[in-house]
Amino acid sequence: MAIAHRIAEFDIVELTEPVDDAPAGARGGVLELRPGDTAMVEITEPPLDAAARIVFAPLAKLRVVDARS
Amino acid sequence: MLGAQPQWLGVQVAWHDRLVAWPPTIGEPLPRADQVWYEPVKLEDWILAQRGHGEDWLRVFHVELEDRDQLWEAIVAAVQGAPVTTVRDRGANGIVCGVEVELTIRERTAPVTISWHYETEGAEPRLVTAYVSLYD
Repeated sequence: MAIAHRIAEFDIVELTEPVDDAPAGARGGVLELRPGDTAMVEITEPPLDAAARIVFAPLAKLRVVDARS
Repeated sequence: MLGAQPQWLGVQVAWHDRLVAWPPTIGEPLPRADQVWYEPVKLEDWILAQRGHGEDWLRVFHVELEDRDQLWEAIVAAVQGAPVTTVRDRGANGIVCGVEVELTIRERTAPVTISWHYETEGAEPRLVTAYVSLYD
């Protein structure tokens, strides 16, 4: 049986839908988990400016690409 | 409090009775730059970590985890008076600002981009990320 990885800080994730300035498919690192099942994510691909790259994404719109542990 | 109806005042009286520019504005100094702060976990597990921006910090500045205090001191010094270059209002999640500086650590100097987060209107700027921007 497959076990889903619970998103954790510093996981590398991909957006499954656009969030703030970032398009679907954008990738980055989870910088913190926040109340309301939301994560602060730094988008590293595609390149965005210093403010645009920090997005607040619902966990439901994230897919783990590389779990930290 | 930041939220659906933020107050867009030019200045406000902060708790320490000094005038603080608000909201953060492109071209203006980072509000409360003298009160910047950071969480060690972001510096250690992201900014200086291999899965974050650590590789560039090591290559350009020869900075590793053990140099984190020196890096933070350099960031604090560089951001004083540095103009805001980008701003995003994230509603209930606060405001994110970008600042671009020339950072010098030991004898190495390079452009660095730093993102700051204000959780609320009265909050001090919190370090979110910092990366070498040689190739931007």
